[in-house]
Amino acid sequence: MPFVEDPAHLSIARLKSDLLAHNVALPPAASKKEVYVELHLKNIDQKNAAEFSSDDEEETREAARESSGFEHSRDKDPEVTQMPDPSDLTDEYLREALLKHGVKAGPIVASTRTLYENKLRKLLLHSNGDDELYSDSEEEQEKRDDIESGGIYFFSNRIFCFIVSENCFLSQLSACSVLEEQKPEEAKKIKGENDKADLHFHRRDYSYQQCFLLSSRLRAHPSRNEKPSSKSLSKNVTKSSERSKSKSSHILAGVSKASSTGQHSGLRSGVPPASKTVVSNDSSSFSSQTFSITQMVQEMESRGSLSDCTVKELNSSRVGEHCSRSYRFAMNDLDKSRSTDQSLYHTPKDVHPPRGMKLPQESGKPILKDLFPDTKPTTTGI
Amino acid sequence: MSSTSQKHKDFVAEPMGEKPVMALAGIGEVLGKRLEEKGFDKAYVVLGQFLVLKKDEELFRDWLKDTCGANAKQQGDCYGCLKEWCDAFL
Repeated sequence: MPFVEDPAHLSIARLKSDLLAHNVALPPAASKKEVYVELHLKNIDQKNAAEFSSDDEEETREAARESSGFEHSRDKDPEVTQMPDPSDLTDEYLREALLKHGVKAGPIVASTRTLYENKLRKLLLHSNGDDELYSDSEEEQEKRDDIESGGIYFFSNRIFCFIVSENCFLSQLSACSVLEEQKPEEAKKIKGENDKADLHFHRRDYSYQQCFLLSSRLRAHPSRNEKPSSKSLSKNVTKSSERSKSKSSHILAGVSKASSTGQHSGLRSGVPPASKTVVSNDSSSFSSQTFSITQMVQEMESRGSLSDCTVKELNSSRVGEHCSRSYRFAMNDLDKSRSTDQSLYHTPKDVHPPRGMKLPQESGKPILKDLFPDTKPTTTGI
Repeated sequence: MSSTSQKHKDFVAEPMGEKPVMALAGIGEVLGKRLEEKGFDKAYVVLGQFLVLKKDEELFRDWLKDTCGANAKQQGDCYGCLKEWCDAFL
């Protein structure tokens, strides 16, 4: 064997430059030196055909274990194959690849390497083609979960708001009481059809609390409100705050209770009902809740407040953004679940606009920011 | 756990010292010869492989099969005796 010319004795860098000089496509970055050598032999040292074959024979022992598919694809175009054959990987990459499959490899040395290659090959065979399916199914599963747990999402939102309220001033809490009082009427208007309505009604109460909490913040930032209705709203809130200070404590106490109730109801509604009537009931019953959230999100988006916040106020914006995100989440879920019944979706609109829900929601973010400048956003949004 | 063969008991009873590879349970004349040909002449060399595979049963069995063509029972015996030895003396 003419060792002087044997490409196996060249460095990888040299092999690479040689290959590039001959316009040969380079193998994947993770490839072992042998791959370069092989390419070098094939494409550059054509004259040494005999040597090549003998070299190839040397490798047949390793290659024998390779499935023909791998070999084939690699020969055709090394760069097309995303994952080079395990035997082409460097020890490091082999270890990483194994780790990706959850295998913590021991030392990869001459005596263990082939074993790990085989292991990786097995893993690849098992997961190949499953990969896409897996991720897809995961996503879908998530989506499905979202849909099914729409109520829970709301629940979490509510909790979030409740936490806010607990940390808020009493005056802000008082707004909740106003909502509570006004709520029953509305609820009756919208629903009052059956027993279930009552349950949902409760839930809605809580959601309203949340909305009003946000709206109460309007007072703190009147400049932010550009709508005329804000005045009346703030007035209302102020009045209510005076009146309902005592109530606020009651509300606070009710928070825990409310949350549990909310969860129950939310869960129930979240489960895809078998009968459509149930569906409509559910959706309409919490449609008011949805409405506010939807609008809020829409307005936020229209104002570009999301981006604004992120750019302007780093710390606080996170909270706000997070909040809005969770709302959007919930909204999406609701939309999905209620897509079957559009009319229901609109029901709340007629009822609510007069109450100036828009304004409070609009200002919700700034208030959140002010309240929790140091709060770190949690992944759960709670 | 592998069998309680006399070979297994003997091997596990004491430090392996310089015992030949054939002292391992599951490794007889034929497999021992093959292993020796590949450089695994002493039991501690096989132990080294066993350890470098992090005592992983699957990998060790595969290795033993690839190296000397051991069958499932032989693999299991060898793995069991090395494992037990490690538990006792490592």
